[in-house]
Amino acid sequence: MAIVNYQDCAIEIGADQSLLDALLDAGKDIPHGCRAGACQSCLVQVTEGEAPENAQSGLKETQKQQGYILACQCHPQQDIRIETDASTNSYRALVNSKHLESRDVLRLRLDGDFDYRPGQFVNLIRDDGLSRSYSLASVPELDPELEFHIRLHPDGQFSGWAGNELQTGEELEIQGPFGDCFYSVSDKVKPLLLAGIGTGLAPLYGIVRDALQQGHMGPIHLVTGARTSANLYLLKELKSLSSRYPQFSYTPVVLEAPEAVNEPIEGLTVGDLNQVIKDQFSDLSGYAVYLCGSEQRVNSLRRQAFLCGASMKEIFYDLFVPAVSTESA
Amino acid sequence: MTLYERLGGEAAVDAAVDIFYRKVLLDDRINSYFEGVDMDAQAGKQKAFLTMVFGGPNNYDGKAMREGHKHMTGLTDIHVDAVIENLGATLKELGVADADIAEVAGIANSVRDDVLNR
Ligand SMILES: Cc1cc2nc3c(=O)[nH]c(=O)nc-3n(C[C@H](O)[C@H](O)[C@H](O)COP(=O)(O)OP(=O)(O)OC[C@H]3O[C@@H](n4cnc5c(N)ncnc54)[C@H](O)[C@@H]3O)c2cc1C
Ligand code: HEM
Ligand code: FES
Repeated sequence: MAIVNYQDCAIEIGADQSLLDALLDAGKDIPHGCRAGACQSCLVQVTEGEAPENAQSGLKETQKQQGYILACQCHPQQDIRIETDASTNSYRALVNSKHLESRDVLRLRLDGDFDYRPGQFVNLIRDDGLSRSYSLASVPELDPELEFHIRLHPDGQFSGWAGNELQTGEELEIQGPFGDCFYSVSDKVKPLLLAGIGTGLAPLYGIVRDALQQGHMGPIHLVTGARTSANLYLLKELKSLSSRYPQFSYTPVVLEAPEAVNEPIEGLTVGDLNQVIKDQFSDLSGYAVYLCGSEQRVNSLRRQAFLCGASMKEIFYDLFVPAVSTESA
Repeated sequence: MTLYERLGGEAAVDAAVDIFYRKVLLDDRINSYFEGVDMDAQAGKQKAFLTMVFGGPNNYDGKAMREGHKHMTGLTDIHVDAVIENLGATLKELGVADADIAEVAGIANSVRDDVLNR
């Protein structure tokens, strides 16, 4: 059985246990969220012994070389020593405003000042330690505040609390930023396709505005998928962006056709997002593609984009992997 | 110059991965074997495959090929032929000379019995 040395303790790691679970069982206070290798909040550094490669998926090359791993993905076979990290930044941030954008999307603005790129994500941490990942929809050069779009799940521990109880003026802890799903295109005329499901729009909204403010001139297509038109949001903002920037276009795609149309939504397309992409973007060679939203949908969009000709290296994506709660794990 | 060097080494492998993988995913004869595997992980394996059949540095021997494909039920000559065909079409698209394509196919073919576990 492998031992992990941490601080002054030698902790045994059970056969079916992850490094994270072993540390938590031993009463160590290790930040964590998704337990699925997505949120990076459980980042630790291996200082002695081998850093298992499969626990480094999604990390930056420089982090890999320094022996960083995701504790929730690590099942050590040999003894290791780890250190928790001083390189992950954390901040306190004041809640400035809360606004319901549609019946189930909360737009949250925090006062915060740190370096990030729109489309990256942070972990928002409640005082009792409950931590969830949310993507940055704001652009530091344009917006004084940090902006998040939080889909309200009826039984969601964090989203439910954020929707019902969190008050403006309260503080949250922020850890991050993480992720490489952001605008890093050096070729300013490259065509971009951004597709998101639900609040997958959050990072994409940041990326689109970032690309535009950095002077991107190639076509920028944003496509979002939702169940019904009542689940769409930011329609006004996106419309005003497309009238201001001729290179930008927006297509909302809904599965169910709206019944009574009070105010027709411009460009509204009824159908399956994958199919719409297949039909309207049948040749994605030369595109940079950004995909965000739930794991299953994004994976099938990745496949679709790839089959339409997008190069694997030019597909950037964030999977909104749900956090497994400790109780059910 | 070795075959691997003639083809362009690692850069050629990188160029071929996307094209080859896309062909495999679209080929109904074999795509079911490749579905359900994470795309990033799969791309790494395609790279390993291409490096091997390009005659580049790799750690595979017949035994490893046998082990690696043993769990894929129902593999037959048709499947190996399909893989080699997609490989050839990929190289053709990249402008590789016919003689080199034949040499690559030969390497792939040399582990046929191992891949088919016979
Ligand atoms: C990198 C990353 C970025 C993210 N960015 C965003 C973002 O910008 N906006 C956003 O709204 N969310 C985002 N998420 C998801 C977010 O972190 C939470 O998982 C989500 O808000 C649910 O948390 P909760 O505490 O409210 O629900 P929980 O208490 O964790 O879950 C409650 C119940 O809802 C179910 N559930 C949770 N999520 C989903 C889902 N997506 N679909 C269906 N059922 C679900 C759970 O299985 C559970 O049964 C992101 C996740 C990751 C990993
Ligand atoms: C033609 C000869 C073939 C060669 C030389 C070959 C070679 C390889 C190599 C080197 C790997 C990577 C192994 C690893 O590092 O894990 C691999 C994986 C794989 N091969 Fe083949 N292969 C051949 C034929 C086939 C055929 C015919 C199929 C099925 C139609 C197939 C399906 C796969 C799959 C699905 C994987 C990934 C396995 C996994 O994810 O575990 N291969 N192959
Ligand atoms: S990555 Fe380990 S808890 Fe989220």
